[in-house]
Parts: sequence; C-alpha cells; structure tokens
Amino acid sequence: MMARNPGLISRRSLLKMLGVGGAAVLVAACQPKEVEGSVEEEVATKSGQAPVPAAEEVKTIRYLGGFGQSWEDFYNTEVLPKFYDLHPNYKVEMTLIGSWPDLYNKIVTSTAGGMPPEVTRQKDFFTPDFIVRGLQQELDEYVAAKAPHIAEDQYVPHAWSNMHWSGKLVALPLLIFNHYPHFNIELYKKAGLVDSDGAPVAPDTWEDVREQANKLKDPSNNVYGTFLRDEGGKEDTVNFFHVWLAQAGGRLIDEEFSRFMFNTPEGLDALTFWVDLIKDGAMKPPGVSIEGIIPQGHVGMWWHASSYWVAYRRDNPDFEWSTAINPMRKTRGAIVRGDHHALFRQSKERDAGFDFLAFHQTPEITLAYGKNQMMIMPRYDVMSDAFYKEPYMGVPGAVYSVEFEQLEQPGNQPQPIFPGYQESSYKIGAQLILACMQEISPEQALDQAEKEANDVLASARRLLGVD
Amino acid sequence: MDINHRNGTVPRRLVGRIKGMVFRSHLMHSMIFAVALLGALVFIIPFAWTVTTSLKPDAQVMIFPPKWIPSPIQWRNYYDALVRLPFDRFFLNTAIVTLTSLVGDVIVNAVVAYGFARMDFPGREPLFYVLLATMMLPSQVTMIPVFIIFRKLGWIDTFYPLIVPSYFGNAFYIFLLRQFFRTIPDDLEHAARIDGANQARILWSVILPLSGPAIATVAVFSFMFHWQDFFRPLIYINSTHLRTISLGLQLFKTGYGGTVYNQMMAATVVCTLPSLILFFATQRYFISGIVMTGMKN
Repeated sequence: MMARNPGLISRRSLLKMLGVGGAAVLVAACQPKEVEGSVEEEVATKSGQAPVPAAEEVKTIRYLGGFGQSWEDFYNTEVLPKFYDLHPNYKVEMTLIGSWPDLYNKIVTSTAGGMPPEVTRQKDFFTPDFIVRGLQQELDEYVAAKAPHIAEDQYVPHAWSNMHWSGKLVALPLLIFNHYPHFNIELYKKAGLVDSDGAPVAPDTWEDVREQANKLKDPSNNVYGTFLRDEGGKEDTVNFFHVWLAQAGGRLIDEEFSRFMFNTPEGLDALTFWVDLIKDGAMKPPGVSIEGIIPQGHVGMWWHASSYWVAYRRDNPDFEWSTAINPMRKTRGAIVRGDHHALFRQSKERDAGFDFLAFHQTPEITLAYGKNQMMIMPRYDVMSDAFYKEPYMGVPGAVYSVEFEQLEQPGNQPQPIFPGYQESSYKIGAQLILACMQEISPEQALDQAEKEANDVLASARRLLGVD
Repeated sequence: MDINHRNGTVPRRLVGRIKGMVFRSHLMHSMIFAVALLGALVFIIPFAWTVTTSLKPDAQVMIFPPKWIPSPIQWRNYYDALVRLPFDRFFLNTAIVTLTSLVGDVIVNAVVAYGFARMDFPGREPLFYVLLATMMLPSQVTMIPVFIIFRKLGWIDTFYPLIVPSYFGNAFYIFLLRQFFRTIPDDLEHAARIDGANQARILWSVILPLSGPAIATVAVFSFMFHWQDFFRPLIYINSTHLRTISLGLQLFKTGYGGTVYNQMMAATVVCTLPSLILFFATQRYFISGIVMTGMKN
C-alpha cells in the first residue's frame, strides 16, 4: 500500500476543520453583546423594553473636542468642577484631539460606527456635513425650554446667523474670530510710517495698503510688505480671499449656498490687487517659506486675529505690534467665523448633552474660555468685561477693542457653511495660487475656480439630497 | 620597468590595465559612497532639526534661517515635556500594545505561513491569492465596519482593537514568511518526519530555528508599526489614561498658534529612541538572510 504523503491534509480533516470554524462563527453570531450607548439600546429604550433607570443614575456625556493638554487642564480646573456643582449626577468623558482633520475623522468614525458623542467642538464648516445627514440635533426647542440666556440679541450678529441651517438653530457659537490688519511697529518706524507718537499709521484704503507695503519691503533683509495668509491653496487661502472680496463688495456664494459667485468684477478686483502686490515684490509670493515670518520681523503688515497673539510673544518676547480695522474698498468687511458646539441626535444622553452645551454659553464660562485661550467670545455681555479692555501682555497696540470694532462693521459677512465647503475650497485655492504665481491670469483663475467649485458643490448637494 | 610574465611577472601593458581597473573601481566606490552620503544627509536633516529644536529656548524655535546649534542649550525641555504630560503612562500603554501584538504577529503568521508553504491542501493556491488580495483593500474602506464590530463587542476605549487583530494574521507578514519557508530544503523536513516528528514539531524544531532573519524582520516591522501607530488609537481610544505615545504627542498642540514645539520635539526624540535602537541592533540580523543546511549536496 502506498504511504500517504504526510504533508497532505485529507479531505475529511479539512471538512472537520471548516465545520468547527463555522460552528464557532454561528455561536458567536447568536450572542450579540449589549453595548452601553449603542443604537440598539436606544431603540429598546424607546420601545419600552429597557428597565426604568435608578433615580441617581450617573449620566455620561461624551465630549469630543479639539487640541491639547492646556484645554484639558482648563476643563478639569475651571469648567467641569462648576458643571458638576450644578449637575452632580453627570459625568463628562472628554477626548481632546490635536488637529482638526483628526477630530473630524474621529467624529465621523464614531458616529458612523453607531457610537456618536453627545457633544462636539468643531470647525464651523464641519456642521453642514453632519446636519444634512441628520446627525446633528436641532436646538430651537431645547433653547426655548431650558436656556433663556441663549438669545439672538446676546450674540454678535454673524456669529448667531452662522449657527443656522434652513432657518433652524443647529449649533451654538463657542468662539469667534475675524481677520484684520496687524503692523510690525519696528518695521513701520524704520519705514517712516508712524505718527507723532511713534504708532504705525494704519492704511485707510487699499491704495494706502499698496503704498505702505511697497515702503515696508526690504528684499536685502528678506522683509516683505505683507503676505498671503496660508498660501497652500487650502481652505485658509479661500477664507483670506473672501475677506478681500467682502471689502471689494462681492460675495463668495449665493444665499442659498447653491452657486459660487466670485467670478465678478469684485472678485477680479481683489485677486488683481494681490497679484499686483506680488509683482511689485511687496507681498510674499506662494512657494516662498519663511518660518516665524511675523515674530521674526520678516513682514510689515499682515492679517490675523487675536487668537494668534500668544505665538508672537512665545517666539519673540520683544515683539511688538499694533492693529486696526480693515481698510476701505467698498466696505471694511471681514468674515466672521469660529468654532461650534454641536449636539448629536443619536447620542445616548442627548438631554444631558444639551445641558453641557448650554453651560458653556453662560457668561461666566464664556469669559473663562476667552481669558484662558486669549480669544474673542461671541456674547456682548462678555465682550464688555474688563479683561478685554487691557492690552494683551502689556503690548500697547494689541488691544481687543479693534477686533470688537471690526466685528461691528456693516460690510462683514458670515463664514458660509455648506456641504462640500472644504472640497470646493481646495479647487478655488489651487487656482488662486496659480494666479498669484503668475502662471495664469486672474481672469482665467477666477473663471476656472468658479467652474470647478460649482461642479464640486453641485455634486455634493446631489449626493446629500440637499437639492 | 620592463617585466616579462613568462618569468612570473606581469607585462607592462597588463600592469597598466590592472592599474586602470583598480582606479576605476576606487572611483566607482567613491562616487557610490558620495551619493549614499548625500542621501543619508537628506534623510537625517529632519531628525537633526528635531533634535536641535528640542534643545532650543522658545524664541529660537522659529528663527529663520534655522539656528542649528541652540544657544543656550535648554535641556530642561526634556524634563518639562515628559513631566507636563503622563508620558510614563503613555510609554507603558504603548509597550503593552506593541509587545503583545508583536507576539501575535510572529507566532500566528508563522503558523499560517507554514501551512501555505509546506502543507498541500485543496484550494491552497487560490486561498493564498485571496489573502494577497486583501492587501489591496485600503484601511479607510474597512475602518467603519471594523469599528462597528468592535463596538458590538464592547471593545471601544480598550486595547483589544489594537492587539487582537494581530492574532488573526497579516497578509504581508504571511507572504514574507511563506516565501522564506519555501527556501528551506524539503530534505530537512523529510528527515524530521523519519524521526517521527509531526507538523507542529517540524515547524517548531526545524523551520523556525532556520528562519531567524525572516522572524526578526517580521518582529521589527511589527514593533515599528505598533509603536508608531496613530490612526487606530485615534479611532478606538477615548480615555487619556489609555493613550499611546502617538496620541500623547498630539496633546502638545494647543491650536491657533500656541503649540509648544520645543517640548513636542523633545518628547518626539524620546519616543523615537526605542525604534532607533531596535533598528540599529537588528539590521545586520535581518539583512543577512542566510539559510543553514545540514545536508550534503
């Protein structure tokens, strides 16, 4: 009898192994584990099958927020103790993520995976992605029932309107910012652009910006008059363009967020202004990288918000700057934008989550937020606090009152939020950069950018059933 | 000098040719060395910048052009970085995940690879191709279904999603080990069978001892992957006390310009050290790839 090759597995053995494996799978599949916070449990609760919870049951609020240890320390020392005093049976599980894209990924995965957080901190333009998918909870009824301190007249106008989608309140404003001119005092003195007190003379018009930027530039010392804010062709590039577009009297997108409309004489005015400055050597062009460009004194005039001041003094303890509202073209407009707090519809403790949201909107916590992070908060009763009357870290020109004055300008526009915002921004930003690098004309750039961005927008709206 | 090869010496024309060959060889080696040195510099500059930034005071971090030698050298950044955040906890968490995953990767993949390399069963080749095909699936495609599986198991915010998948095979490691196992002569296996060894005994006593370089390669790759893994801990871990070092490093970011780069770089250097040490300690071992045989040809 021929010996069987010992390396071969017999058919019988193979079938036995498959049978055992299949049985194991069946046994595992027949015993699903009940998971706290799962959608199944919510359904069971709604159908009356779950037991009645105990009176002192601890309610866990899962909070997904942004950035690092300093925020975690702030919450643990200043926010949560006060929140627990009001709600002793609540517990907040906080997960802070160090970058916006990673935070977005975590929110998406948790929500799509059936385990949405109760509350998130998010960029304003995250909101439409979630609201059109029915993931984010509308807040009008909650506010009416539980939060009288959250009222339209308490907030900066565009910060309030930015929280709405299809006329409904879908998020609460956490913090806001808008971009306005900053000036390097030392470079302004060197260029002779100061008044009798030695303070920089702020440009009143675009022509003043052009004149000053040309006087400030010093190629031999790698100094530019001004620079594009984030020339990577990303969302910030488009946001910066939107600031200039608003001053030129134009709009980025229509009011229904259905069609981009920046390929206009106003859009051309704004983009041509940038390109001409770059041609003069007065504006740092894209592709030229200068680390620490602001605190190391490589730019005379730039557009920023007070939230960035902490980096200036960290990187150069002797750095001094001043600020002013935007120069006039047809308006002195800026774009009001900021972070949102959102409540997720399918979260387990939605009511408790709203309590946490509403707690952030109290004047005391709003002010604590602003002080801790050196940021502008959107409530009028907070903006009048003594904290905002003092110059930042003793820098005479770094006063919050300028940002407040900018927030009240009639030409301001809210940050548009709509599905496909990020994707269309990349298309627009890429064309703007090509124009700035003079590879195409501003007319070509705007034409191509609007076409591509509208294609992306239409596709996003179709996919999400917005139309 | 006039030399004649018939007397045991080499003709002049051959001397010239040999000298030319030696010169060209030296020139070639020098050029290769120069190119390799240039490449090494290009790769080492980012790490060098990380190290120098970790020693800089705040005001020198963003200076342009960069100051390669900080003055003063601020060693305190290392202490501040590692004390500011619970990096002892992060290191422990990462070590737990990495070492347990490494054991799984080595043992399980070796067993599976042995089956594909040495055992003949119906459908072996098609099954192997299916296994290879799974390498084509981007992780983004499976991210949410896998999350749902772990959610239903109650494993979110635990180490299980980071460790358990290592005990269910990895297509790349299986492929790598299978290819190595196939280079081991069958005669060794037949000899072991004659001595009464079964499959498990052959794997343990014959195949694995001869597979040191391949096992070391899998171990190094597994260690480096799990040590540096960011995306899976991001998705599955919520609690601070369960964070790994990759998530811990993110806590240095404060948003809107407040990131403390020098401390972040200091922590990065410390966290990179285990991978560096492991690589330099084992590179000769897994590059060598020599199979020993006990049979005469």
